[in-house]
Amino acid sequence: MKNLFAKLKEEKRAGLVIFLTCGDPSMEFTEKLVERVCKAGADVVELGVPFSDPMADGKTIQMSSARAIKAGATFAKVLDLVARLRAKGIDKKFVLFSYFNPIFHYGTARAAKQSKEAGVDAWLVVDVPMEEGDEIRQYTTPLGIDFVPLAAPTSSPERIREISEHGSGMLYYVSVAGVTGARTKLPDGFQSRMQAVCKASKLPVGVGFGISTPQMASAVASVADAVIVGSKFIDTVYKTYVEKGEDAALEAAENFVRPLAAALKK
Amino acid sequence: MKEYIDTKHGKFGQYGGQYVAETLMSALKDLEAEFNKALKDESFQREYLQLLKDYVGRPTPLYYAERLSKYCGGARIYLKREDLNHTGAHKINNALGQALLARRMGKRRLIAETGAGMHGVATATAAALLGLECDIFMGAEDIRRQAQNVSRIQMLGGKMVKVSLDDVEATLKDAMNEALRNWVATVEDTFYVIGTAAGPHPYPLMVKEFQSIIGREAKRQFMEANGGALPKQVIACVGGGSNSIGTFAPFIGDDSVALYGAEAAGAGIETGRHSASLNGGSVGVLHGNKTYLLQDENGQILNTYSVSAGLDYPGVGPEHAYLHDTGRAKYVPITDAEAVDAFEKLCRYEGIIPALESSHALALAIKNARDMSKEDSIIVTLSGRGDKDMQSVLEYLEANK
Repeated sequence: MKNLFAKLKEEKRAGLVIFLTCGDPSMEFTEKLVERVCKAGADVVELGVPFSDPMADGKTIQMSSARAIKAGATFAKVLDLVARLRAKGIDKKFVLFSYFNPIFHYGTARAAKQSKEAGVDAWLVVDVPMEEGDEIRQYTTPLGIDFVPLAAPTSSPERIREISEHGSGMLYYVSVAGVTGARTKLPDGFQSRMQAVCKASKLPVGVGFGISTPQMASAVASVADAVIVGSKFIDTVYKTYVEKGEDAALEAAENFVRPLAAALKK
Repeated sequence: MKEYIDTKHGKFGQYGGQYVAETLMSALKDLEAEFNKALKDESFQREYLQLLKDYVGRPTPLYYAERLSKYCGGARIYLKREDLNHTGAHKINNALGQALLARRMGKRRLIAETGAGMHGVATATAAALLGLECDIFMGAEDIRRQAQNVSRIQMLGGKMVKVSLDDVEATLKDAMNEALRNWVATVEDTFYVIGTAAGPHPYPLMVKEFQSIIGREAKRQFMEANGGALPKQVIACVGGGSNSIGTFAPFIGDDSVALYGAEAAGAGIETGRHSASLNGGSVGVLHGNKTYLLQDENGQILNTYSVSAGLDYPGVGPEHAYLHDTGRAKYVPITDAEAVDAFEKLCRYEGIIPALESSHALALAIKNARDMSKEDSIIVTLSGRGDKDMQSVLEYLEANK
């Protein structure tokens, strides 16, 4: 992840991170979707591992996860997906984005080793805060897998500094106290809050939760190192998939990502 | 038994911990600090205990169930009558304690998850008493089967939040997910009153603290009635495990006292339709803590089943997971059929209508008592009364004629 942020700095732009749920509505579709998203200008893809009880997620990702599980998505199949994408020469950064239980149940050591082999760059585990992080870092760090930590509006500057020292790759700043989901505007006081976050963090800062339009993305890009978009993307793609089929959904994904990527110049 | 609790991190051996989104960490740290302060604060303790006495009606009796004991023909069965608490179950002990903490912390709103509705009623009651707002999260299936408690919550001024899912019946686990989601968004002014001895640290320790009044009273009452002797066995039902950990707490160090938890085996462990996470589950992480869970081969949480809404949960408090591993407590599966049978027995032999949750503990006591001598004694925690379960029991009996 380090190289990416060095490159972004040179290019004077923020990075674009797209979140999607693997296996929604099938792994085959996700494979094509990731390719398309990378082609359209995403720098990082957060590959969501579906979980039955996504406590930090709003309706969109809850439903997306449920569809993926129903269609048979598993942790092992997500790793297979990564391996296939790497075999095709896709070289964007892949962050495995999961709740802890699917990883723990798979075996954290085994999950880390196989993630490395498949070509995963980083892990983000939503329900593992700094206090429990050793349980993961002891396996990911020796393999060179980044462990992306989360920070929230409720995290003090001192805590954000500590969090960023415990993690690596990027700090994922949750812009609002709440669950994931598209929102129509950035929270009040966002800009000044971001200054404090960036000052406290030893890592590049990506901002997510609620960002849904190129305008919002552009505003975030002016104060952050990366912009993360998830729910609105999933909504757009899935809606098109249901109404008009796979090709139209991939087209919609590309049309969604391009203007976002173009909006991130510093 | 040696000290096994890491009170700083809320770990019981490998179990417990704080597996939550970062947004909640500051709230958990504030809560932990305030809880520790309150424990040492005499005025807090005085107010809490005074309310338990004047408002809840404690101490609850420890009642020797003579006719039921005679029927079993073995050990003497004593019932710790938590059903006689104000609101009809042990849940009020904890809800009041947490609500007092909420007020101390300046929170204006309480939220809670509820399965059978007893914790919802207890939280709505505490909110009314302290003048706080209150939202209760409850699964659609539980709202259906516990209609009476839904009305009670609303009558007390609590707002019901119905949790429904697309293609499965939403129960306690889903209510807890939704309550956690709500808390993440409202954490500034809202206190989450968790009703079970699970969740992230400090909840398991806090719930145990507030519920251990059950065990402390029972122990004292039993010793007074039996010349200072201790019972052979202590039995309570285990869903998340709040009444059982509260009952066990003062006995854990007494090696001569066998501790038993009754888990809900539903239609039978072998059918897969049950809620017995210790007997039929494996270790995992859910709702903020590491513990035994009912999950599939991919680490997805399974839907649970029990005739009793209060036990219909795929996890169990982390301290129980530890007591299970070390063998200090034994956890025995009790089926719907056994629980309903015990329910009927207590009605007929003692004139007491027990909650279906508590009926699981009773069923285990009836089983165990038969093989014990008439000199031996068992304490069973009757965690709540069964008025709320009339419909469930009638439906069950009708379906299993």
